[in-house]
Amino acid sequence: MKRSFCFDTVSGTGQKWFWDEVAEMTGACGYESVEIPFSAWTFNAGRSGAPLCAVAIRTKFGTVKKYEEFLESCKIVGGISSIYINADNVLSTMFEYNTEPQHIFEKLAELGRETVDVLAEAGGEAVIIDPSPKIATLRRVYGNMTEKERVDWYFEGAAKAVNEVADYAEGFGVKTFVRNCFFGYMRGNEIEKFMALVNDKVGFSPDLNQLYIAGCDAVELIEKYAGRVDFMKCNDSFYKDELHYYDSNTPEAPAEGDHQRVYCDLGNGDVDVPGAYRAFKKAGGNTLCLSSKASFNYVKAMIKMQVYANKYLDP
Amino acid sequence: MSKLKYSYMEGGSARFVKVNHFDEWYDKDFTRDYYYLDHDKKYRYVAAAGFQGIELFWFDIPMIRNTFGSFENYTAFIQERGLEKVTGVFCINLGAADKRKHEDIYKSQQKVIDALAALGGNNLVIMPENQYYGTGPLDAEGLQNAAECMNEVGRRAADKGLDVSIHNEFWCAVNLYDHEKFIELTDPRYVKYCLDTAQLSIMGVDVVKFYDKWHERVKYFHLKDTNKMAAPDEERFGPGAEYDEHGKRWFFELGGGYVDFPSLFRLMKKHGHTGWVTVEADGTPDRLATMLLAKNYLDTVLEPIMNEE
Repeated sequence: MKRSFCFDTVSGTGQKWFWDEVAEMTGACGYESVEIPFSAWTFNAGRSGAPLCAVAIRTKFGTVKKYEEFLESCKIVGGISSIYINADNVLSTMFEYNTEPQHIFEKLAELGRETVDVLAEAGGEAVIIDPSPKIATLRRVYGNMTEKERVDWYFEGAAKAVNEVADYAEGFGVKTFVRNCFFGYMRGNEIEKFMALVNDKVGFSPDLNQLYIAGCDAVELIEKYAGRVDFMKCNDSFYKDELHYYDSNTPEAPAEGDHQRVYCDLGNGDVDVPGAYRAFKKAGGNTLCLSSKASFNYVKAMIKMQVYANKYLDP
Repeated sequence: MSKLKYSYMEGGSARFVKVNHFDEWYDKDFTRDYYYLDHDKKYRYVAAAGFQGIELFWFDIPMIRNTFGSFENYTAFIQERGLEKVTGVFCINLGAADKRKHEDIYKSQQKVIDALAALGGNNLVIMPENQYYGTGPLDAEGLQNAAECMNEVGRRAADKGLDVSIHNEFWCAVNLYDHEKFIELTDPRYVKYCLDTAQLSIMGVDVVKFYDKWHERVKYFHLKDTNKMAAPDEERFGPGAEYDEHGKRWFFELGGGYVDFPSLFRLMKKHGHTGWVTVEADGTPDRLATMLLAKNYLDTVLEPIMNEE
């Protein structure tokens, strides 16, 4: 089982030296590859030294290949194994640059193809797509439909966009997977309806804390998609969405209640990661993406996640 | 009584409106992050340091709508924490050298203008074009186009009673060799100037002389310090120059670098400058330290100059 370090663990400056050092430490910690959470181009993301969008990598390293070579020189032998994109970022970027909201599916597919190009140049394996923006945003922006009409329209359009990306990716030997956040239309078991709409080239990438918060049994889902699952995101949470913030404007930053912390470092929460891991292995999974989203201490988290995997996953 | 009022500007990482329980964020992590997660504490710190206003970035506007529901709610929120108002918004005329992009820019900036007016602010501070890398140097037509774009945004802002000010970054496509020409090309009725003390110093401009020359256009200030005076072209014109390749820190709190603030404040007094001034904290590794040191420098070094008989 390969272990990949997900860069969403890290929050820091946009300076290249900072991110170069992150890569060096990732290699030193024994991770075999990295997963990068990509965003669509914005003015600030594009000029930054953080390798979190295609333009930033090409601007700061010249080519993606050079960045890949840099990662390999840091002893990250597999370089970039996967890149994750999400429709929530696509829609918010569209707002920032005044793109009409009806173009959401085109823009999602566009970012998907751009990401595949990066993976192809890097020799990466998988583009992972979270196909839904926040439920609250969808309701607000596309308010001229009933909820059922909106859900049906969105599932169909997003499935078409994901299929387009998968067809494109196949030409470069890149695989396509979907992931589901707890605050989108495909939350929890709703992903099953979506998986029925996408073609067989599209696999499922379980994101454990997102499934946990949505109240979904990850093991069942992994078993259901055996042979189609890979790039399992191993992360944690002890969040109970008792006030149903999942369909609010701020699902990841609930404004009220005793439970506001949605994510925590791997090993500090209540997610049954070992149980999901056993099912994942049995289902033919090959790569674990270890993540502690926006950790307060990303260096500690980077090391601690390897300790966790050594103790509880592959003792 | 001071003739100046101080606003504060920093990006920060507040995502929550108010974080309720310390333990949830501390147990098992043992970090100080609890103190930096929410807007509640962020604004309390700014008010406690003695600032009266805050300045926003254009990308804060959708965040405010999402998080607070309305601009009115947000204004009430900051006022309950001891701040008077939002003083301004910083934004960019991205692509302004290309006339074909002007309509999109107007559409985009109109949203910022409407938001700023709804927030009760006054100053729309605008970077005139993209970064130098990939865009600069602008030819005469490009510079003229960028100036026309700034004029039109200025006219639209004036319709809502707002001021537009040019803000010149050391890494902007409009740079050392044409930034004064750019000021000349803009219409003084609609376009003022926001003097950023560190950005201009890094560009290689003597800010005291510059202010003396352009004081009639300088309506607003962004105050921050730097110890990288007159950085060479290759550093300013590189890709993503503000995010230095080697981690160099460009900006410091007031008094932490070489900008001659006492001379600048003497001139501000001489030219009768009054009203809001923004203090910035770009790139600091310690937000609270920078904010407090800057305010103390204002209180002990610069305010006495303004208040001299």
